[in-house]
Amino acid sequence: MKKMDKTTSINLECVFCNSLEFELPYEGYVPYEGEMIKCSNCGKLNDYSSIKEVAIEAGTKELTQYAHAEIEKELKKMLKKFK
Amino acid sequence: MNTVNFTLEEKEKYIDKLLLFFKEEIENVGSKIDQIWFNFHTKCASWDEEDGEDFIKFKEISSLSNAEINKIINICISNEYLSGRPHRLQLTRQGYARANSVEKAKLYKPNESNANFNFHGTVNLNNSQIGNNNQLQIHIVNDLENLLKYIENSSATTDEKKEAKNLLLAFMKHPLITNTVGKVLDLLIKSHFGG
Repeated sequence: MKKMDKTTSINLECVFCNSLEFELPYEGYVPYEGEMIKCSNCGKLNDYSSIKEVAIEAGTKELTQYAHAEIEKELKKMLKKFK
Repeated sequence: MNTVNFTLEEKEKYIDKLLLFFKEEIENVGSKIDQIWFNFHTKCASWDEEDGEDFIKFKEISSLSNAEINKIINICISNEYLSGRPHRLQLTRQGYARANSVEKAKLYKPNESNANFNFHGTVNLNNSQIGNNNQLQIHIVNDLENLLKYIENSSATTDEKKEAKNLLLAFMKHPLITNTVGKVLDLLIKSHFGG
């Protein structure tokens, strides 16, 4: 069985303006759960935990689609062998 | 075609109001966002149908017209805050995140120890009394220390960091500042700049 190994990177987006940039104390800062982070573009406060969930859902969807495509590819290869 | 026009401010306000309505209704029944549908159907003049119950509820609390509510729903669907059609709407993860953010922002109090610094305007020391109590001194020195750490951890170049720190050192050595904040500031200067 072929091993599937894929990672994807999803940026957090402001839920108000879809900007990818937030005001943080320093580069690499990781907000804590429940922290409110300010969008650099529109200035509105985003609930970090909630926008993280949005990103996780998007990432999960992308990886699921990838997995389905890979499985379909493998199945087609297997079916060809039996023809 | 809708002829309703909102200002940008009104649009954002009504989107927030609608999404908060969805969130509250979902939480009232203890459901998950993908397990509950809302009926925002509006009756057609030629059909003998009732308006959707959720449409009626929201209309009562929002005081918006039918056309305005329909417009806001369409905006939310386009921006993926809601999914489905008016008679069977669902709140998306994105819509729920926005509703949470709006709700929590009302209770938000900035954390004083959080090193978020935005310098706006100028600092004028002429004829200004800065303060003479210990609590204010410690607060000022804590802020200065956090600012130094912020500079050190920033993504600026070494030269830029050095320039910023030297400017801050000049500020901290100003006679009016040292007279006000005194020995506590001396310790801070020694720990970051030596000497």
